[in-house]
Amino acid sequence: MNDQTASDVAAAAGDSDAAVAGGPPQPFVFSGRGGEYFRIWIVNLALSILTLGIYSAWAKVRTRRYFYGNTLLDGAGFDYTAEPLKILKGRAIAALVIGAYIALGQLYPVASLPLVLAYWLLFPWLLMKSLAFNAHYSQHRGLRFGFVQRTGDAIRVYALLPILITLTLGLYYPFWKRRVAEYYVSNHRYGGTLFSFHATGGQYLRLYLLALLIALICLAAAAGALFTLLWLVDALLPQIEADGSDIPLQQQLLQLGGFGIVALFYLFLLPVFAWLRARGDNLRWNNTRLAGHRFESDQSARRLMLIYLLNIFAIVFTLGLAIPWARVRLARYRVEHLRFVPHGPVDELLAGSDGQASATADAFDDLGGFDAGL
Amino acid sequence: MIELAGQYSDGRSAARHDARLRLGEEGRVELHAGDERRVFVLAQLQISERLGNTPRRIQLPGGSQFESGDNDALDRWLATQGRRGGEHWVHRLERRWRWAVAALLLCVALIGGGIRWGIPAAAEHVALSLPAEVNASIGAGTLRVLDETFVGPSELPPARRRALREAFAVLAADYPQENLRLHFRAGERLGANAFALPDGSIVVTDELVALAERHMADRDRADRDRAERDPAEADREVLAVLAHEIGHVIRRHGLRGVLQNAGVATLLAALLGDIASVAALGATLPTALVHAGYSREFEREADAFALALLDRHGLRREHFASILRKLGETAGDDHSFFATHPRTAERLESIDGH
Repeated sequence: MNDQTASDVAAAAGDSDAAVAGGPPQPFVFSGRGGEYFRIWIVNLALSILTLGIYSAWAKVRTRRYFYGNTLLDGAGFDYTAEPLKILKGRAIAALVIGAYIALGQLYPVASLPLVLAYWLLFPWLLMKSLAFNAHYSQHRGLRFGFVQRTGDAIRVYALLPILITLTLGLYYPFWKRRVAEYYVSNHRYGGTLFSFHATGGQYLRLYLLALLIALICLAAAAGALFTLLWLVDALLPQIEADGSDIPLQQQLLQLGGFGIVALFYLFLLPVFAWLRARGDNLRWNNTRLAGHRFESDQSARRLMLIYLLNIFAIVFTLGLAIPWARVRLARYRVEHLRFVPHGPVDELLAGSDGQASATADAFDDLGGFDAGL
Repeated sequence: MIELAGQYSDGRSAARHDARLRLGEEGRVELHAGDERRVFVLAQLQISERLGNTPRRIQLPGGSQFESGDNDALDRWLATQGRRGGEHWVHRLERRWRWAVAALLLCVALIGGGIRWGIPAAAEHVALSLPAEVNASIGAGTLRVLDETFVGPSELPPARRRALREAFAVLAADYPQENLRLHFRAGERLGANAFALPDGSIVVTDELVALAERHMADRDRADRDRAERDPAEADREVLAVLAHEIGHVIRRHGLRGVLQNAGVATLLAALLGDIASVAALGATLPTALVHAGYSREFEREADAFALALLDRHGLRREHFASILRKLGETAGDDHSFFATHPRTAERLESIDGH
C-alpha cells in the first residue's frame, strides 16, 4: 500500500504530460472525411490533366498532407513538408536514368548486360533516396523523421539477397521479407532516435506459410468454380447452336466467361492479399520500437478483405468516383487499428543533429535527397 | 484581436505545450506558452497552406512551431492583414462542391476526348511513321498459333486458289512496298472469316469462299433452281473482303491497336494511381469497352479503304455489300458495347452512301 501511495504522489507531483505518456496505449485517430477528400482529389486531378502532369507533383504533396494531417496521435497531427518542385526534380532524375537505360540499350545492344547490372545496383540506391526524402519531409510534434542512408545495406537487401531467393527456390523469401522490413524500420528515425526492429525469421516464415496455405485453398476453390462455369457453358452451348438463331448470345456468353475468369482470379487472390497486408502490417508494427516505446497493430485480415471488396465494388459501380471514399475508408481502418504504447515520457524524445529546419533543408538537398517516386 | 488556441513545440524535443497565439494589428503576433511570451511579426512566420480541415502549422523563427486546428479564425485574421495567404487559390476550388463538380466535368471531357481522339491520333501518327518491319514484328508467330489452335488446312480446289491468288495479286500490286501474302485455311471453329496479320499475311477461310458462292437466302430464293453460281462472281465477293483486310495491313491497325491499348492502360494507371492494385478488376471492364470501340473504328476505316480500292480497280461495290449481308445473316450481329465490328446495317449504309 505504501509503495502505491508513493508512486501516486510522484505521478501527481510530476509533469502531467509525463504521467499520461507513461500510461495506457494511445490510439492513432484518423479524421479525414470522404466528401472533403473527394473535392481535393477531383480538383487536383483536373489540374494535373490540364497541365499535362506537371501539377501532379503539387497534387501529390496535397494528397499526402491531407492523409498525414488527418492522422493524429495524442491530438497531434503528422505533416508532410516537401516542396513540389523538389519532387519534380526527383521525377526528372528518375526519367533521365530510365531514359538513358533504354536509349543505351538500343544504341549499344552489346552493353545491355553491364547495363542490367548497373540498373540492378541503381534501383536500391534510388529506393533509398526516396525513403530518405519522404522521411526527411515528414514531421510530428515539431520533430522531423529521418532515414539513415547506408548504400551498402540498400544494395545488400535489394540487390544481393534476392539472389538467395532464386538459389533456395523461394524458401528464403520470408526471411528476405524480414530483412526488407528490418532495413525499412531500423534505418528510420524520429528526431534523433532510431526505430528498432525485433521480428524473427520464424515469425515471417509462419506468416508466409499460412499465406501459402490460404493461396492453395483459394486456388482450389477458383479452379472448382472455373470448371463449373466451363461445364455450364459447354452444357448450354450445343442447345444454343442447335437453335441456330441465337449466336450473338453465344458470343456474349464467351465474353462474360472471359471476364468471369479474370474476376475469379482477383476475387480468389483477395484473401491472400488481405492476409499479407493485415498480418504483415501487424507483424511489422508489433515488433517496432522507438527507444522503449512500442506499437500495437491489430488489423484483421477478414475485415480488411471486406473493405477491399466493398471498395472494389464501389469503385466499379461509380466508374471511379468512389476512389476518394475508398482511400479514406482504408486509411481509417489501418490507422485506427494502430496504437502507441509509451514507456516513460514521450517528451524526452529529442531532435536529431538536423533538427533545425532552416539550415538543414539545404544541406539535405546538397547531399542529394530526392524522391524518385518508388 | 483574434486568439488562436493550439500547441507549441520548440523543435528540439517532442514536448508539446498548450499555448495561445494572439493575432493583432499590423501583423503583430504574440505567443503565450506557459510563462513564456514572445512577439513576432507576420513576415517572420511561415504558415502552411490550408488543406481541408487539417491543422495548420505556423513555423516560428528558430525552429519552433505553433499548431492549431482553428483554421477559420486564422484565415479571418490573414484576410484583415491583406493577405490571401490563408485562402490559397487551390483551396478555394477544393472548398466548394460547385468547383468540384466543374472539375469532374472537365476530367470527364478531357479523359473522354483523350481516349476518343487524342490517343488514336497519336497512335496513328507513330504507327504510320515507323518502318514496316516494326509493324511486321507485332504479329510474328500469330499464324503458327492460329494453325495450332483455330484453323486447319484448306480443302479448296487448286484452280479456285489460283484464280483468287491472281485477283488478289492485282490489288496487292498497288502496294509493292508491302509484303502482302494470301493464305487459305479451313475455318473450323472460326467459320466464315478472314483476317489480316500485321506482317501482311491475309488469311481467308474455305467457309467464306463457300459463303460467297451461296445465293442470298431471301432475295435469290426464286433463283434457287438455277445452276451453280458463276465462280468468278463469287470470287469478286471474296476479293472485296480481301480489300478490307489489305486495309487493316496498310492502315497499320495491328500496331495502332497495340499503341492505343498501351496508351489507355497508361492513362488508367496514372488516374487510378496506387489504388490500381485493388481496382485492377474494375479497370478491365472499361478497358474492354474502350478496346471494342477502337476495333469498330478500325473496321470502319478498313471498309472505307476497301471501297476506295475496289473503285480504283473498277470492281462493283455491290459485291462487298452482298458478302457483308451474307456474313451478317450467318453470324448474326453483336449489338453489345463489346462488339468488335459495327452493325451490318450501318456498314451497308456507308457503302450505299458513297
